[in-house]
Amino acid sequence: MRFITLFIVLILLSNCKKEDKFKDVKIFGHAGDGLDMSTAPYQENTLEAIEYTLSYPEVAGVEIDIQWSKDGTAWLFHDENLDSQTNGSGCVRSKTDSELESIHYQGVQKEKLPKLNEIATLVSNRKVILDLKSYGGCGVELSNQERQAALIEFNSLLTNTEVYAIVQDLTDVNFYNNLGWKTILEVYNKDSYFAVVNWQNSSGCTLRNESITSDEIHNIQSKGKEVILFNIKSPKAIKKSLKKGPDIILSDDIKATLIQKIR
Amino acid sequence: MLRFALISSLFYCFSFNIHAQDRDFGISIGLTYTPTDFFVKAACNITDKRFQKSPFLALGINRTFFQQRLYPEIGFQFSYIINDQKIRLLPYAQMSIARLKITNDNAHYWLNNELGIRLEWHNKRDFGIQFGYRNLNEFWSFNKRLDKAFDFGFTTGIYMVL
Repeated sequence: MRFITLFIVLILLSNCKKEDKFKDVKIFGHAGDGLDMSTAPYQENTLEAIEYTLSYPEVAGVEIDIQWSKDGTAWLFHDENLDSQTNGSGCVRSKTDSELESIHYQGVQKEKLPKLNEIATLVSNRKVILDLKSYGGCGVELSNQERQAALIEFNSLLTNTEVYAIVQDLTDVNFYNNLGWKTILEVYNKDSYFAVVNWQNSSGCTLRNESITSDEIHNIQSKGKEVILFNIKSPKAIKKSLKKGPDIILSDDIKATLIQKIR
Repeated sequence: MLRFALISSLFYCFSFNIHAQDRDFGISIGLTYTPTDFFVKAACNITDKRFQKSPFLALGINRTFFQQRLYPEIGFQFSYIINDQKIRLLPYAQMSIARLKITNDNAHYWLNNELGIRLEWHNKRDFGIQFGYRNLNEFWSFNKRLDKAFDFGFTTGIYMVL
């Protein structure tokens, strides 16, 4: 009885009104509901993870990792090889669609690998960041046209969705602009962003939380570009990253990030 | 205010058996790992022949202490002492409920059912470890969403007979 009374008292104490302390920072789920996180209820880059994260109204959207199958279909998967996380082996690019359909993640819930087109309805009226992976050395090398065909098809399925494409170079920036997407460059630090030829054509950059300071973020933002931070796992890292004032945080722990943001 | 509440709650838990002279009563303090957080746990253990009943209160360390957002869990563990010797083995069943307020409109509740086994070095100051497999039911207060998952929990701690 004492424990129950105490439990109720503790709940009442925790019920005070909270307010958003970092209104300008948008929260996105990294790889759905967190990359390599034991606290995440579902496996990364799955339909379940995306649906879970988007159930929070305070979350602006999700970031997901895209790779192409041998058949030219866009699939959601982070690592180059399937071996460590799924019941499959080899890389995504070496597999046909029917082979990938039979693969599931290891773990209790055995979530399936989703196709990019399957998430279109989930992200309607929200934002989505596509990290377009380009691993080399394994499987079939698709042409740019083949890869882009899958993205065009995905774009046609969207309803009021704002899309960001994370890329390693700006070769196809016009293609993304034509789709109405924002192009985000993946860089190591502020200097490497400004060292890219035509960096002005991008909408912004994404980089690790620990590799940029608050002043550097403001410097990039003063040029009209957006800054997206990732690798934010612990409560301490979440607090630091929010204080830096980026435009977007790719959070690996949605609950911890919302708790830190809305206090 | 929160710190005061935490200190008071720990004192409150410890006051449970201050006057109990019976060796069948005791308190235990433990550290539990679960997929949702690490918990510091205080339990009252009541042993009746080979059965042990343990109501407990736990606090999520990351959320409560590092993020100042109270994350309490209250539960009850029922265990059976297989061999009442120096090294004891106790299979157990446990039910608990945890609550975490995330935003103004949204609090999450976890209803956890756990089955597992506890290994204890039974002496004046016992030391034990337990390993369990739990079914987590995460309930969202604002949209009535329910997420079900299975995962493991691990606890280590000391048990003091008063």
